[in-house]
Amino acid sequence: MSVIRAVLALLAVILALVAAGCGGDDAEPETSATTEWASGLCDAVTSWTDDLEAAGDDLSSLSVEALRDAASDVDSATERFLDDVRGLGTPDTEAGTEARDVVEALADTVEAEKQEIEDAVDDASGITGVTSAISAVAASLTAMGEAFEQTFESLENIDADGELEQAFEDADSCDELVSS
Amino acid sequence: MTGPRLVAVFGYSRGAAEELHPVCAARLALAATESRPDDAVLLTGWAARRGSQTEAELMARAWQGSAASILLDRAARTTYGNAIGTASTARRLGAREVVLVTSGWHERRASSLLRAALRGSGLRITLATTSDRGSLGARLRELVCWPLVPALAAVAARGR
Repeated sequence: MSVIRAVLALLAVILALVAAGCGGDDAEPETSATTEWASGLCDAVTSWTDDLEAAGDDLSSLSVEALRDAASDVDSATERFLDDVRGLGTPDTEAGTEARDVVEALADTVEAEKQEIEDAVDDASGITGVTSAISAVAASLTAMGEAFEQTFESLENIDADGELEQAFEDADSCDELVSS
Repeated sequence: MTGPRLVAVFGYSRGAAEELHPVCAARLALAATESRPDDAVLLTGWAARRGSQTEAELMARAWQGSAASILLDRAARTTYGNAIGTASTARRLGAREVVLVTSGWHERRASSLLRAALRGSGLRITLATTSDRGSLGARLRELVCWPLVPALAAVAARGR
C-alpha cells in the first residue's frame, strides 16, 4: 500500500512540474517577426562588412590588379547585401513603413556609391591612377558609412515605442554589432 | 626634435550645425585637460554643409584649454584627411610629439592612419580617447570604413 502511495505521490509531482512548465520541454522560444527583421538586417551588415574587410586585405600591394580584384569582391558582396536588405520587407512595428523606407534609402545610397567605386576602378591605370582610385573608393566607403550612421539614427528617432530597439537587443545576430 | 608638442583634435559633426556635436565637445574637453601652455593645438574638421561653420571653427569657439597656439584645418573631410593634415602640420612645426585626441570607438582607424602618415618621421604619437561608447550607427560607420584603412595607410605612407 505504501508503495502505491509513493508512486501516486511521484506521479503527482511529475504532473505538477509538467503543468508548471518545468518538465524539460526544450521547444525554442518563439521569435517575433520584428526580431527576425532586425536579425536579417544585422546578418546582412555583418556579412557585408566581413566581406569588405577581406577585400581590403588584398589592397596592401597598391597594384591595378589588386585594386580590380578587391573592387570585384566589393561588388559581389555589395550585390548580396542589397538583395538581403531589400528582401527584408517591412518590420511589424508602429513605424514599420517608415523603417522600411529608411532602409530602402540606405540601400539606394549604397548602390549609388557601389557604382562610383566601379567607375573609379575602371578608370584606374598606373600607380598614380591606383592612388587616385583608392581615394575615390575611400570617399565612397565614407559616404556609405555615413549613410549607415544616418540610417540607425533615423531608426532610433522613429522608434518611439522602442520596438525596434528591443528587437535589436533580442536578435542574436545583432549581439556583435550592438555590444561592440 | 625640440619643437612643440602638437595636440590634434579630430572633429565630428552630423550634418549642418551651429553648435558642437556632443561627441566633438567631449573630444575638445579631453583635449583641454591634456594640453599645456607651450603646446600647439590643431583643431581639424570641415563643414558637412556649404555655408555652415566648420568643425574646426566650432571647436575653436568653444576651446577652453591652454596652448601657445591654436591652428585650424578647415579642409579635412574624412579621418584620412584629418590624419594627413595633422602629419603635415607636425612636420611643418618640427613637433616632437603628436597627441591624437578622439573618441574611443574611432581610435583604431584614426591612429592607424596617423601612424601611417607619420611613418619615418620618428615622431612619438600619444593617444587620448574619450570613453563614450558611440552610437550603433557610429560604430557601424567604423566597420564600413575600416576595410580600406590598410590601403589608405599605404597611400599615406607613400605620399609623405
